[in-house]
Amino acid sequence: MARALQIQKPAVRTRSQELAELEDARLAAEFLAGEARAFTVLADRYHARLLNFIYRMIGDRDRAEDLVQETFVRVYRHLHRYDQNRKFSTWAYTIAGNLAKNELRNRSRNPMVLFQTIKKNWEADHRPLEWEDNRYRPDDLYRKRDLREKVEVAVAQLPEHHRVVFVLRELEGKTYEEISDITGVNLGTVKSRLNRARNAFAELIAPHIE
Amino acid sequence: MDCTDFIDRYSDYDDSLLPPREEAVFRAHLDLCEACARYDRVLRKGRMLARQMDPEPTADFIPRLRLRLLTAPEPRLMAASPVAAGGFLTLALAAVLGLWLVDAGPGSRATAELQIGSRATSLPASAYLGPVDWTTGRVDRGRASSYSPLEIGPPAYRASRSVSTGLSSTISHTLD
Repeated sequence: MARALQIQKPAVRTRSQELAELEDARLAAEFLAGEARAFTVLADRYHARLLNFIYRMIGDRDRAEDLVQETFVRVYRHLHRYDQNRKFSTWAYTIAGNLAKNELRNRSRNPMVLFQTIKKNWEADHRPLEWEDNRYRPDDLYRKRDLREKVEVAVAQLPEHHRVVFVLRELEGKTYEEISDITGVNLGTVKSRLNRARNAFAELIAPHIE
Repeated sequence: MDCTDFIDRYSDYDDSLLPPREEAVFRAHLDLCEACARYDRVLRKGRMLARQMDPEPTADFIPRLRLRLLTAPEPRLMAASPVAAGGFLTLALAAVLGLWLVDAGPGSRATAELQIGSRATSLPASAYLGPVDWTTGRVDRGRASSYSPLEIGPPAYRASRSVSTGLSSTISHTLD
């Protein structure tokens, strides 16, 4: 009886929920048509992924976040140039990749920046263990952190043109075609660079993993 | 298959790009060759570890982005004309000027809608500057930090009348 009296309220979906369900290209179109909230959805969807990508490329977390911001500013300003027949993510990663490349080029001209980055990373890596997850024993934590650090260093040691392909494939899960679009090199080169990057990565981490 | 072939074409195997017959050959080699099996294990474990190290964006990432976009040049919207390309400041100033030109009167609420080219963009003129004090028509920059172009939505438009600013763009000024 009580159940019969229950009134089913129609599910009301907010505009933000509707936008969140749209594909990237559609969001871009909505933004260009004047729906400013569509940009929020795109930013929410991609900022963590782009941060990961740029961080892996340049190895400096704070600077990587600045560059992700810059990526979004460029996306915001130039979204009208985005070809909606292609993947938005490819376009955004291309912008992010170019910014990372410029950053590395600028750094190579300024060794002081590289030194500051290493120092910052070293300080972060040597904070007391008690700040981490206390479910593990300190020696386990140390070993785990040490291993991760070695993996991170191994990625950072790859030459830039191998690293970008490696990060996009192994960490970002991009297809060969997407990597080719993002990096602007042909498919064959993507494949060979990825293979070399994997070989080099395996050589660097093998002594620590087994 | 020897180990050189295996390593040379490992990427195709790892990415499941091989035809089933060739893949079977790779699997058979992995079963027989300890060195290649180790290579495969190391790579998979290394990849797994690398994926666990994703940095988290700071909590204020989106608010900071909003602030940056407040000062960024305006995006060109779909209906944009060369007028729109002339610059965000022109449009924004034109919008504010338009609000001053019309006396909204006490208690009235005014909203501005930029008409760019032949089509309204539905973005309020204040979108990139901050909220407008509707009694004075001034942009409240003090509140700009809490007012975001990412979150703004077009206000509810009512019957409108147009005011020409003489600045190549038309501002539709809507009053309650």
